[in-house]
Amino acid sequence: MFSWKYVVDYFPDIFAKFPVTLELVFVPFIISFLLGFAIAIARLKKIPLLEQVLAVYVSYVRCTPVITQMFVVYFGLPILMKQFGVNAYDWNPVIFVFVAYSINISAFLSETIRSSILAVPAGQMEAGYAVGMSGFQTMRDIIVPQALKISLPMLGNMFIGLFQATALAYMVNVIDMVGKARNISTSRGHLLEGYICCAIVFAIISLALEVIFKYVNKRLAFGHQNGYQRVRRRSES
Amino acid sequence: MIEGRYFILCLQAAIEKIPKNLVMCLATLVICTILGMFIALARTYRVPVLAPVLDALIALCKAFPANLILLICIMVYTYKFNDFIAFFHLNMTIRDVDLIYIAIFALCIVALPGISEVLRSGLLAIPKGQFEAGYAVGMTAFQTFRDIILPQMFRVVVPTLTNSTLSLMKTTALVNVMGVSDILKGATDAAQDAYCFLEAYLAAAIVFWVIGIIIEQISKALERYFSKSVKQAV
Repeated sequence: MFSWKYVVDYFPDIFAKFPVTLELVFVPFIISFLLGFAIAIARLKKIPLLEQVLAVYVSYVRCTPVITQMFVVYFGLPILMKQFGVNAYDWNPVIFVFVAYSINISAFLSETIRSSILAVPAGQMEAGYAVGMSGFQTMRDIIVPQALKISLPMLGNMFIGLFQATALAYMVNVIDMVGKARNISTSRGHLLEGYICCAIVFAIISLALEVIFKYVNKRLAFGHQNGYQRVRRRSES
Repeated sequence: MIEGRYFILCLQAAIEKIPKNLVMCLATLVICTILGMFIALARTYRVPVLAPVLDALIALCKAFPANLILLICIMVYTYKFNDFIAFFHLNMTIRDVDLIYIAIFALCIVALPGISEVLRSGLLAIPKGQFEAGYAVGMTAFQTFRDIILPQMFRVVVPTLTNSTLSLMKTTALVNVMGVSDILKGATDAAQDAYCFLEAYLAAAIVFWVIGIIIEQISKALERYFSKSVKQAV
């Protein structure tokens, strides 16, 4: 029968796998931040062919569930790697999750970064040129810092979304918190208690992250609220 | 490499299951919109006691991962079904109830915070003067809401609501953890014999992709339609 005692009993074992979840969050987030930035710039610069390919990529990721993307990578990557003579069949399943989530988050991040760069008034770019900075310098020193500040609320939401999405990783045999809960249940029973224990950990961390992001936003959001002011000013001019 | 024969097989199996996902998605959307509307109203106009409780509940719902909500729902359901039946003195067994209802219930929990947030932002976007104008011509609060606020809100909310529909559609792919058959399960079941899982997941992904593109196009068309009646500042 269901008992809260087991939820408490299982907690140390399940929480011991929390680093795996952290790894599943941070590695894809960092990779996809760089990747998403590159995609956003490539789409903004309107590089022919590449732009169309990236548009299809973003559309695919936006419109398909993350679970299918994960399995497509899980089954597809070894076959793809075999073409290059690499045996990927016995790779650690964590790597497939890294790749799948990097693909997923990079597309969403690229959309966010793109819209935030567009939300920076065009005059900022021109001001950079006017004082003799190069295109790259203006981008790095003037546009990107402002764009990041605008995109921060969305980045926070995306981070929490990714954190919660890692609860799917057990499906490709990664032993994260949920995977551990399932393992425990095969030897000791009480699967529901294991799931509830995981859910509680996820909920507490998500709520904490939300509070942290709200605080950071409040500290950084001087001069505008969530970027709305800039967007409006741009459309009025 | 990918075998075309198996791919077609899986694609057919996946296409057969599309209505199931659509039904789940639409049912959840309708329930969430109605419930979410009441929640949004209570939270926007700060109904005493109810508003803070709903605030906390919504924040809590948002904090759980979707697939854990689904898993916990189905397990609680199987554990508690007999108690529930005994309580209401009904004469049925667990096999008489289609799991899809449980799936819809769980999906509602997953989608409700997002949709009620969207509706709330729609409510907040309507200037207070609209209410006052309604009162000024002698309409009751309910009349004002139904005839003045709701139509305007609808226009504001549609683009974001189609976005949540898209993410809801993607969440329906998770119901196979509950054993409900959907596009994904249909495709993978077809792959079971030939062990052609890559083809199966690709087929499922393509079906979802097409549905997603259709939803996006509908969203764009609606947005264009509604923006016709709005005077643009520029």
